[in-house]
Amino acid sequence: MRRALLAVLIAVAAVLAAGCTGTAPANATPSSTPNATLVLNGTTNVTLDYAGVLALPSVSGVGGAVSTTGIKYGPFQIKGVSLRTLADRVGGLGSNQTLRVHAPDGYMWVIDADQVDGKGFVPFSPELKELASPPKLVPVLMYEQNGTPLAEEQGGPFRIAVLNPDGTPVITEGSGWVKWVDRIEVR
Amino acid sequence: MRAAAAAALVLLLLFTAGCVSAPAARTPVSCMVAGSLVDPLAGFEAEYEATHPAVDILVEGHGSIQAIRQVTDLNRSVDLVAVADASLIPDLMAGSTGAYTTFGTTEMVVAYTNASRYADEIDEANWADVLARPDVRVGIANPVLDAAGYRAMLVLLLAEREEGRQVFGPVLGDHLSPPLSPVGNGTGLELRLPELVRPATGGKVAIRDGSIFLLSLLEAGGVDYAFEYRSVAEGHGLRYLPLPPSINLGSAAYADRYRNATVYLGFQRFTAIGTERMGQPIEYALTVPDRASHHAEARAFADALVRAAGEGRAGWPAPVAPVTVGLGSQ
Repeated sequence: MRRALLAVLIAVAAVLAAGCTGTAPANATPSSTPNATLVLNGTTNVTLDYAGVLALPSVSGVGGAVSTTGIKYGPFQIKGVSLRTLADRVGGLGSNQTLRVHAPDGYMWVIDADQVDGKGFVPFSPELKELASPPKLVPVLMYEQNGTPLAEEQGGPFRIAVLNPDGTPVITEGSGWVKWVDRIEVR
Repeated sequence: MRAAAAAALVLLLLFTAGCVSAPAARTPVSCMVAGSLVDPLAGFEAEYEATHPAVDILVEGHGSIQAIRQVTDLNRSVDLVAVADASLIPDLMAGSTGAYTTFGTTEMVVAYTNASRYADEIDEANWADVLARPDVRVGIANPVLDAAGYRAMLVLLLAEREEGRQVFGPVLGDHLSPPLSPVGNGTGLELRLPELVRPATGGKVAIRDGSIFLLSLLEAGGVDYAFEYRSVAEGHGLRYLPLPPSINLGSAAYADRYRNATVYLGFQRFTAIGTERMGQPIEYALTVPDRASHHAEARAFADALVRAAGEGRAGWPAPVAPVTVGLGSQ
């Protein structure tokens, strides 16, 4: 009886210890991934599911964001689809046109053709010093961060990000890093 | 065997003791505050916690609208919201809070450093002419993202109307891409922004997402002058030029006059709020949302914050007689 009780106590303690010291599993798969869709509106309209977005040509690099109050996020290893590629799926983006990026929480951000081509961003070093010679940047629809699918709390499954494809970490202003993107519209 | 098991048990119990018997928990009070309140609250947080050790004040800075959206749109558990525009609370939080309290004001100033061109020459009479000089670089925050940005534009519109000559264009509008000009709307001036407000080439004007980056640009010599809140300029130890109360958005006595300037943002960033930004006195306000997890602790902290603001601390919004406005949601 005593031995059984002892065993139970040990088992309970072991379980508690495991919960305490173990590394929490990474939230590697966004719960909404299976139903995630991305609507693209241009001269044509396209709706892509999660696999459809991942099937598009991808681009990878390093990037991070800084909030208007100076909080830095990243830099991260980023993988996604360039906004130019997405615009091309629905008829392209002219030099005087813009992309309107929508999220279901009512947030909307506008990106112009120059920015889609990587120009017009204010780049910072990871120490948040403005870079005098901006590298060539690529804005993307990110779906993978640091090698794992983008979780919901990170803005997943799809979030706008700006990356440096040469791998040198660059931070950009975070206002355009729209979370939970569900629609991109060419205007 | 039994001894070994007992030893293992003791080890495990020791090992887990720090884990399962948590230290006395502090009650977290989650505060979403306007960016211009982050620095003042950083010091006040420590001061408050020193006398309230059971409370952990957690301050998170956002633009004022984003601070509110953490409650209304993103459904986060928030105990206190403090914003740099009191009118946003009745507009956006009427269903989320029962009342709000105004607790401070500030005014728009022109901040600069000893290294700014013409720093020894600029004064209340010539500031617009100095800022319009071709070799002077001027910075504003992005009007779509930061209230200080569209308030800078409102100041220039009010100055133009008051002085009866072009001010907005020479200082700012002529150096944007595309160039921008205000138009008359009866008694006042209004400005309609394009979707993206970008500086023209030439470097006369710089625009940054948040005023924090404008400050670092100013301190690094990237711009000579920047439109900022007086409290922020003071908090960063910058020199600044006060502007006349009739245009600086800091005096309730001039509220009617401020309404003669309106800026329309180029797009609706949030579905919850439109694009019109009309001049009005700058007024800070706070509220404890109905769904606050720690209502009593948040209320106590809010009361302490309002009292502290009333002391007229350096780098804080200037004190006003606090007014609590009921919204009728409770």
